[in-house]
Amino acid sequence: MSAVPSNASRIVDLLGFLTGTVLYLMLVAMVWRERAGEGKPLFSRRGRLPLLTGLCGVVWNVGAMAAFGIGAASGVEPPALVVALAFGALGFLPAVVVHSLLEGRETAAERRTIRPAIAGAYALSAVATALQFLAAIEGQRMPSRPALWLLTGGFTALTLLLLIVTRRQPISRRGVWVVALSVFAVSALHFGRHDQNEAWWVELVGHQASLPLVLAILHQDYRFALADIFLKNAIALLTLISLGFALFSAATVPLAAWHDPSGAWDPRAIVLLIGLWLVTVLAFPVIRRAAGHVVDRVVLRRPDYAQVLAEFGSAVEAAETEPAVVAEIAKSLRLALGVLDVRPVEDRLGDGDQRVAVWGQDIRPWLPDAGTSLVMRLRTVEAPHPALALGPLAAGRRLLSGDLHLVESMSRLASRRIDLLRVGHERVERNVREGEMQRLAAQAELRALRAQLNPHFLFNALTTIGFLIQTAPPRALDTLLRLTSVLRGVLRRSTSEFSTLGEEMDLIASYLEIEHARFEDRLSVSIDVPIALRDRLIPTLLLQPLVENAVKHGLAPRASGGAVRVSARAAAGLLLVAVTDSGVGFDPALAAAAGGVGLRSIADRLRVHYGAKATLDIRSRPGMGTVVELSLPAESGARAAAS
Amino acid sequence: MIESILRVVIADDERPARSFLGAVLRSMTDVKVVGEATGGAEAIQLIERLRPDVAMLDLQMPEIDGLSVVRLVRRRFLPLVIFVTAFDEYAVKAFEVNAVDYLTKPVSETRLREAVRRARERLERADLKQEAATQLREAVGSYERSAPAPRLDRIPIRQKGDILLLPVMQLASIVAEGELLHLTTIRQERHTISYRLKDLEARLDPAKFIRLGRGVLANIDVIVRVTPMPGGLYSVRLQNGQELDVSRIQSRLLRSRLLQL
Repeated sequence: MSAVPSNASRIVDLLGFLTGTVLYLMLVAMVWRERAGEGKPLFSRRGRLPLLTGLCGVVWNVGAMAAFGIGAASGVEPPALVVALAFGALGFLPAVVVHSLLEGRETAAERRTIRPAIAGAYALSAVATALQFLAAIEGQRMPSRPALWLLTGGFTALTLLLLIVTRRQPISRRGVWVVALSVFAVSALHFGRHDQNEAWWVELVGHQASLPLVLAILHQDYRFALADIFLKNAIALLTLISLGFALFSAATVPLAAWHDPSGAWDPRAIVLLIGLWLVTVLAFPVIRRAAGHVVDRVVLRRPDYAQVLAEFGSAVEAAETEPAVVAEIAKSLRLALGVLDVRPVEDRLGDGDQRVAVWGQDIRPWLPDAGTSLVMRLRTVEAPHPALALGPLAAGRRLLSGDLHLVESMSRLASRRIDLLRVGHERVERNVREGEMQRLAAQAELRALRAQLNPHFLFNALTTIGFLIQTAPPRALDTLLRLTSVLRGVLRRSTSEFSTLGEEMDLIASYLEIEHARFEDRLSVSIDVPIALRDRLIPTLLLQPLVENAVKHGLAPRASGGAVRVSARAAAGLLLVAVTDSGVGFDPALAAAAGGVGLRSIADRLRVHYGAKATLDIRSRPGMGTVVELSLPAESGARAAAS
Repeated sequence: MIESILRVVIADDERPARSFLGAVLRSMTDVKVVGEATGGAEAIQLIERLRPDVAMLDLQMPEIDGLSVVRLVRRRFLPLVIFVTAFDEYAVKAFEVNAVDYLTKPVSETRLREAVRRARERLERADLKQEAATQLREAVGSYERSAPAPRLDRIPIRQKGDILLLPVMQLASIVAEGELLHLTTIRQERHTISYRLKDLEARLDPAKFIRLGRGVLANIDVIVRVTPMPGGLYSVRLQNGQELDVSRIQSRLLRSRLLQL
């Protein structure tokens, strides 16, 4: 059927074994690298099946290449023991497939049923291998036909048995290994009645029937998360080799025509070969990309990771709270991987553990229920580090390396966003605090202002002036002028934050003069401020409320009245101002709850201007009068005013 | 028609204010200021002795203020009352709602004449006079409920002709009985005043006085023993030997306030 000379069949065969060797070596190398990367022993439970598969595959391909390729081409019969070894290795592959079926079985009942099947499979392979070696030693025709028949018959029976045992599994899952085992059984049949005159493609399929077994093993052993990469590389390699072979086969016709018996190269032939070589080289990246696309979209039906990440990135940027970020993660994972259940868990690994995606046996610290497939950790700069437990993937899908990279990238994006949000949150909180301070200050100012413009004081003062107009007009005028100076002093408050102690004392004197006119001999007043201190700066209208309190709350409630004394002195770099009254006094404990508003606003203002350097000391007892003493840092007041 | 002379008592602790008001009143021919009081206690004495037609009471007076005067004057002697205030928005509201007349300082002559005219009108009609007395009591009550009442340090109590000022910290218990409140001091003295328990409670320090039942308040500092009773109730014993039962609802509160460390 082929236009290719009979040798072509051998070349294809040789090429097939070569490709197979490369593929299996790649598989071994990948498992090796993964194990080494995790710092785990190579032959631990995890990953031993892919490794076993790879090793068997390498031995089979190398041995078969020696037997059918080189041996047949050179006309030399290959050593019988090499052939026995190759077929022995091939015979073990289906046993590994059956073994991989057991791995990952959840229930003990299922395991009980399948365990004899595994033992049977390995026994079949072992017997077949033994038969091969026996035939080799006895010099029978290689490969041993009884051994191959045994494999065909045995694994056909085993396949049927497993189909019954695993009847509850979804067809999609069973399909892979059923097809793989069937193809293997048929290929064993092919070797069993092997003759050299088969069509080249029959040879190729027959000799490479182990490849579906590899795929089946990788599919079953989901913990080998590099299966997708292997698949991509394998497809790319196979395609490239097929393309190269097709191109060069097509080129043999013109090359043969240009062949110069003298042995000199025709320049056209050189150009053609270089052209073909260039095409092959240039085609490889395209083929690789295409293979990746086929594996991702068609075989594994995976989302476009780059797109998912881009969308996730912008969604996370828009999230304004930590729960919103977590919700975005859950949404993206549901869309991209089909993870239906994403729930927050506590991070049980230490701070030192930098992994962001924890899976397989490493999720043990979380004591996961059977469904948890992966724990995603968000490595934020500061604790708490959020962690998410991902439930099973939809339709029994396995986490593949691309999925892991996606999860890791998402984790990093999300952690960075949460870090930002936390920092921003802190800033917002600080702003709110500062705003609160300003609001308090404004409120205190307003309250102070209202306290100064105390309408009660104003109307009583006017009543007093009314009385004085009738009885003593000059005193009425005097009191009126004092009232205007009090009002002026109060209104000055809005323009300057500080004034001199002298100005404040003048205001207080005017105020007390008016109150004296009102209460007459019930109020006696004394002001004792050394002239040297009159230039000291103090917050405007800080003292006046204290004096007003002394009159209003200390003396007015007492029918017999009393005395108010305002005094100032300098001591140890401090300005001490005291307002003393001999009034009714109060219980300081009760005052804090009841009438402390005015005092609190004074304390607030002191704190705003002087911090902890100023104090407000109140000493009072019911019936024993009150002393309020202010202690201000003398110099910082002046500085505050200057700045 | 010859109008009778309106007899007025004025009460203000501040002489200038009192004099100013007195001067305006004296300029009126149909008004006679029969007495001037310099405080609440004096005002009560003058009112009961002189029986004026009208009392003009300053709201803010030390110890016994204008409202307390109204509470303490024997009902049958209570004249028509016109309150005087420098500035008190709560008072103004309470008085307006209850149609009680008031004057603001400094008192204007026009406004004073109007008040006098209205007082005369009420006095001439018995029904209006009766109504005014009721309105006055309403106004006093509603003012004390609405105003941010200053804490009461002493409770003024009528004792025959005198006014006793009982410091609140000497109170052991207050038991309500209808319109009356029975006060018991830590020295086991008993007094009865006419006051609403709710209004009095509002003017006492809630950290010091605790409700034991619907009509019972006790000074928390004088509770010396709490005895559990059947059904989750309590009975308390005070320093003065008084035994008081605690209601079901208050038992729970008492537990949380007194019995938890």
